[in-house]
Amino acid sequence: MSHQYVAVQWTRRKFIYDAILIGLMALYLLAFMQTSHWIADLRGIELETDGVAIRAYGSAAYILLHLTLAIGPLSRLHPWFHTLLFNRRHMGVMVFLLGAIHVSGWTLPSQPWIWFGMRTPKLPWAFYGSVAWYNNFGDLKPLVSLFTVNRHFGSLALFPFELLGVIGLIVLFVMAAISHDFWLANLTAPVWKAIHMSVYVGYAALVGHVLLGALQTNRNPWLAVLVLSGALALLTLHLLSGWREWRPDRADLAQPGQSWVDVGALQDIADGAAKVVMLSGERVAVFRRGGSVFALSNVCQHQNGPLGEGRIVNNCAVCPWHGYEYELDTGASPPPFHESVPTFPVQLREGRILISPVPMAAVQR
Amino acid sequence: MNNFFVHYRPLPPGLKRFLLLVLTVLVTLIVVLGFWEPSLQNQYGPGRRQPVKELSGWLLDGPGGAQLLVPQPGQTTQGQTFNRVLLAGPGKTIPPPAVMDHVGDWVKVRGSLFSRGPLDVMNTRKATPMRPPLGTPEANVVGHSEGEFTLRGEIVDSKCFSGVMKPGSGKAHMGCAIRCISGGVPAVFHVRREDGSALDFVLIDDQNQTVNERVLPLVAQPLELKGEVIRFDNLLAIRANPESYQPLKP
Ligand code: FES
Repeated sequence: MSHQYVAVQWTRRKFIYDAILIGLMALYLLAFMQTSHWIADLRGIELETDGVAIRAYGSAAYILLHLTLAIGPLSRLHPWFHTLLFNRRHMGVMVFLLGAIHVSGWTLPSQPWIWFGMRTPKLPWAFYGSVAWYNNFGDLKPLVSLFTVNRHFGSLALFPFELLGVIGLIVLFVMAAISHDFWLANLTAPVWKAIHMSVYVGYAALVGHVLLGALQTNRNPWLAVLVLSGALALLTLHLLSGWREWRPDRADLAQPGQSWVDVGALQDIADGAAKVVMLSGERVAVFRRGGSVFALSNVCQHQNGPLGEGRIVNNCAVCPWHGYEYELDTGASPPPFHESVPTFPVQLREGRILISPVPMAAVQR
Repeated sequence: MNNFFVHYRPLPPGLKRFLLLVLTVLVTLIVVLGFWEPSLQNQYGPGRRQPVKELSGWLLDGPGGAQLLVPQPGQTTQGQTFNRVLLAGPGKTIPPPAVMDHVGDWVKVRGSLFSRGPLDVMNTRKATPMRPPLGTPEANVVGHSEGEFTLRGEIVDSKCFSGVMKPGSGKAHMGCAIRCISGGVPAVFHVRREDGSALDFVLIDDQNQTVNERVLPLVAQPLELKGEVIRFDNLLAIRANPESYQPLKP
């Protein structure tokens, strides 16, 4: 299997998606910082802008992470949410960037100048990130200070919440760094997906970071309500969609040793669409085109998307996640692409669909 | 084929309305959170940064750290001849030798002044020794005992707390406060009274020495201190051995 590498396969809709994403985050950051100034003016007190920016970027990353993680289960629950799924990786990268700015501030863009010993141009929005603002200018290097300053590991209330943030950021970095299809192809989809599952480890660490950090000091009940409802909403969505997936998986239609399995009537499948059945532990997408049926592995070769939730377009089964195409009878992607999925022998007898649970070898082009 | 979306093909008509709905929900969510969250976050504090100032006074090292004793203008009230300004260097450090070499002298210093209630802290790099003006009172180095007290509060670093950072206290500020106190910025015990008012005490041990290195593991957590409260002009200090500080349940 191989992919043609291009930086990103841009389409008009990806530009629109990213523009909306960046716009929404800019709106949030602006609203957060401006409101902070208004509140300070109202109370007649001064604001310390580095701290405000650190909180704005940190909370923006945290909110966006929730939106990103909600899209997966949402699109399991309703296919219309696929419209949010196809460019979700850019959201993940954006979460990492916001988190990185929360940590390093806008001093990050000044690093190249610093490496060459030059004067950094003054950025109008420059501020120190949390690592520098809280750990720099002292008797230890900032990173040494970050990892050694608080040793209350035994106490939940005093636990160094910063370290949970470090774990979260490392996970987000790995996700962002291997987000490109280059890594997807070389690591293979299952390995790549498995690594991406660690985003939940990162998420757990970040929930701890926020709960132990902001909330320990900041005992505002509404902040706690917000954080907990975010976590609860994600958990509910994942359980719901997991349950929806798990139910059909239990109903394996194939008996051991059976050579042809009746998977239902032709009429039960909408023309141009598919239904997903479980055969010998494998999900099979059964597509109908007029009076003919085709059985393909349900697992898309790109990111293991659910091919059976896709549609037939120009004689190809099209994956609903990112639009990879597979010819109905061979399972091979039309040239110049090289991906292919296994197909299964099919018979139509008196309106009933019979499928052999033994797949045919995937066609290699 | 209804409503099947692939990003490189035209958008099915029904989906457009759905997407507009999603977008409206998202914009509302972002706007609500963007305006609401700042009021939930602990990012305010009454500390103020004043414009760069020049002050003259006696430079002393203690109690609790370097300080400048600036004579109060006009009549001096009983027991408060001076306004004591705590001194710190740039960043999280004690003032550099260009300042500390002149301990005991009458000096002029320049720097940003941070103030929170009666607490004044100045960033200084250099002190210029001068002849004290005629009739300048002598500094009272012994202080005036106010008696034994039991106080509950939190150790903060005087510099961030007095206005460099907001709120400059609490668990989230722990790392920074430890760095400051470890660097020699005077450690202060911040006590919030039941009526909402607050008192701040410079920490000294029973030899009147600074306690900075010895209190690092106790910074930014609830503590109970028993000791003698001593007034040095406007500055309150609590004299107790760090070994006797009692951590309270957070
Ligand atoms: S998973 Fe991406 S196209 Fe199928």
